[in-house]
Amino acid sequence: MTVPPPFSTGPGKATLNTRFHIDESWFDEAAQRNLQSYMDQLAEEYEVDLTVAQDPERLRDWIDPYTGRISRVDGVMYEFLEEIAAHPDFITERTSLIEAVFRALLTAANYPMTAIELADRIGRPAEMILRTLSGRQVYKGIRVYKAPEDA
Amino acid sequence: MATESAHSPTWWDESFEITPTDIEYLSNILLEREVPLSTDELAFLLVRYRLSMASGDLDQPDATPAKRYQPGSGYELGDRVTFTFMGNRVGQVVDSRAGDNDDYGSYQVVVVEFDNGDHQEFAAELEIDHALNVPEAAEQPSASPALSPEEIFIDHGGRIGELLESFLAGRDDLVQLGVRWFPKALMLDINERHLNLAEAILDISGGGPMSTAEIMEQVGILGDAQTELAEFSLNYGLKSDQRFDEVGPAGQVMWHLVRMQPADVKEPPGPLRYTALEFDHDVLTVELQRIESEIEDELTTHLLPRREDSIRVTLIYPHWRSGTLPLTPPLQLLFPTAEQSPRIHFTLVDAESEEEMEAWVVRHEGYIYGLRDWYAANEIPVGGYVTVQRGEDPGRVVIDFGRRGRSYREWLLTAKVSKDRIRFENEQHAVGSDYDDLMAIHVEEPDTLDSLAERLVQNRVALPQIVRDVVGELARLNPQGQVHAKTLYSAVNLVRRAPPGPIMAMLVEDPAFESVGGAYWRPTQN
Repeated sequence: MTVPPPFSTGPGKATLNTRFHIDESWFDEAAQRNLQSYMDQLAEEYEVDLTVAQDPERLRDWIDPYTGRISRVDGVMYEFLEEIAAHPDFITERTSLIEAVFRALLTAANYPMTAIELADRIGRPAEMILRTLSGRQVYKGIRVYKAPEDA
Repeated sequence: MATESAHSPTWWDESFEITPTDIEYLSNILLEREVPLSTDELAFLLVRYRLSMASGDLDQPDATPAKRYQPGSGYELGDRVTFTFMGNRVGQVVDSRAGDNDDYGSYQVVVVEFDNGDHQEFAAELEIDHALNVPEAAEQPSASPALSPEEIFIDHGGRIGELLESFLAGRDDLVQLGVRWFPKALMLDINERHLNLAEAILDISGGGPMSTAEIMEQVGILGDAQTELAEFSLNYGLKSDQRFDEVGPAGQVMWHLVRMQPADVKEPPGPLRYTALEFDHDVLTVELQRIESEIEDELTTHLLPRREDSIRVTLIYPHWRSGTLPLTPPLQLLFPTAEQSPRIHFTLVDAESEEEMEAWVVRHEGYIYGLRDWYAANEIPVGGYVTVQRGEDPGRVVIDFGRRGRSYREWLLTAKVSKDRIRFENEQHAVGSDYDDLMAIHVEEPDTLDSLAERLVQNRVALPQIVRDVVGELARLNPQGQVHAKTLYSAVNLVRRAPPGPIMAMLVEDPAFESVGGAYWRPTQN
């Protein structure tokens, strides 16, 4: 999957242009369940068998249905995006804010997104998302995205 | 450059970025005018500059109009493309390849370069349906009335100012004081004699606070210089000297001697000190999440500000003991704020007696200081209700409590220390204010309790062990052996500062506890 550098908003705190993503290393640091286990749980909830994905190792294009953006994903992620994340009730008004942001990032193949882009996908105010994600507490591994050269 | 989008209102909020050219332009203005300018004034000048730049670009006959991105359309190398879902950001097609997924049929992938060097891939010539494919005829007309600099500043000035400030702060040749900026090279010389005189004046005034104009008048310095520049220069001299602290609310510059500030303003009092705890917020039940929101502990990270003229706070021991109030996001809007000052001096006014109290907002550590005597005089217990009301001017805040006319003796949960452990009993005590039944605790000997808290830290007793001990003690007082989550939160905070989230997460995750419904828990029976 190709990922961009963050917008250059200069030094200082997170802004509406700061990108967030699910940092998989957080799960190791926090000794939490890993990202795959969350995806497996969602697969079970939607009764989708991810183990039958065709060519699970091979990377292929996935076109984001919101943006047309291309991500390179493996067969399991592709199956997840097409069969689970695309489900109409994957994010609803009743989904909690953190869960909705987490799922919105999954629907974009974990492509780093700003609070504004996330707000568009989950129908909550961008400022509320930014405040929630900018706090000291890290929820479900959602962190500010740092390009590899900044990390 | 995406300057052609500066006339679009969304562009300012979603895509505007500060460039070195912007900073150079603003630095030149400061040098030419020789007057300090505020961040807002500079932000407005920047909006005007960018709009004129954008208009200039549009006047260029060879400027290529950008195409609106649609996955069904085709794009050539060099094409400029506008992405509506990115706030009308504009990029240029720099490469392309064939699509690599038969599920989508035939399509191309174009690589788009943005003005920050970012490269992203997008689908093109896609034959299947996509939400972004809108027939040209159905599109809104692109020509919209041009927005004036004033209109843009009113709607987007906050964000522009915030970005601008973060960039100006990194400039060595500029000086920032409050919200205003000035070139260092043009500052008047403030020497050691000026600063020593200022210290003496503040010293004989009880340490402060005093305005810069008052200090200048009494010291009689810089009398010949232009007043605004002289005041700015003296402010800068005072700010650069560690003897002085700027303590005025936003928009007012007031000075105080650091050595004459209360110790609990310079450093957080012991009971408020907190070591951050990682926990899984998702494990909290809906009921526990509701209680967490209701408690509004300043250490809970996802509280949101709300504009109200009056907010009620339930005191917990760390604040009761320290004579402080929590500076939660909702309360922040009732107390004076400042652009930079970490400590702000202001006045608290008793709602009934109109007695005035000297108080401080300690912004970064998140508390209001100055209430110890007031709590004691009014017999407000741990768990008592305190109400904060907006005052008539920003430097005065009205404070009240659940008044009862006179104090009554009531049965209260009472905390004691025995054999180096915290113990609880139900005992009768005089109470002068209304309180939350679930959080009220009478503290027999605060000094002994604080010594116990210190020993627990020295002996590295972790929060889970404290939670177990406190649950065990509280359960002993109740025939059903049940403990409410709020009571536990209030009781744990007697010996270890912690927000409700991690305490309640331990209730859920520790097999030593079991739920008995609602917010009640008890030690596991078997």
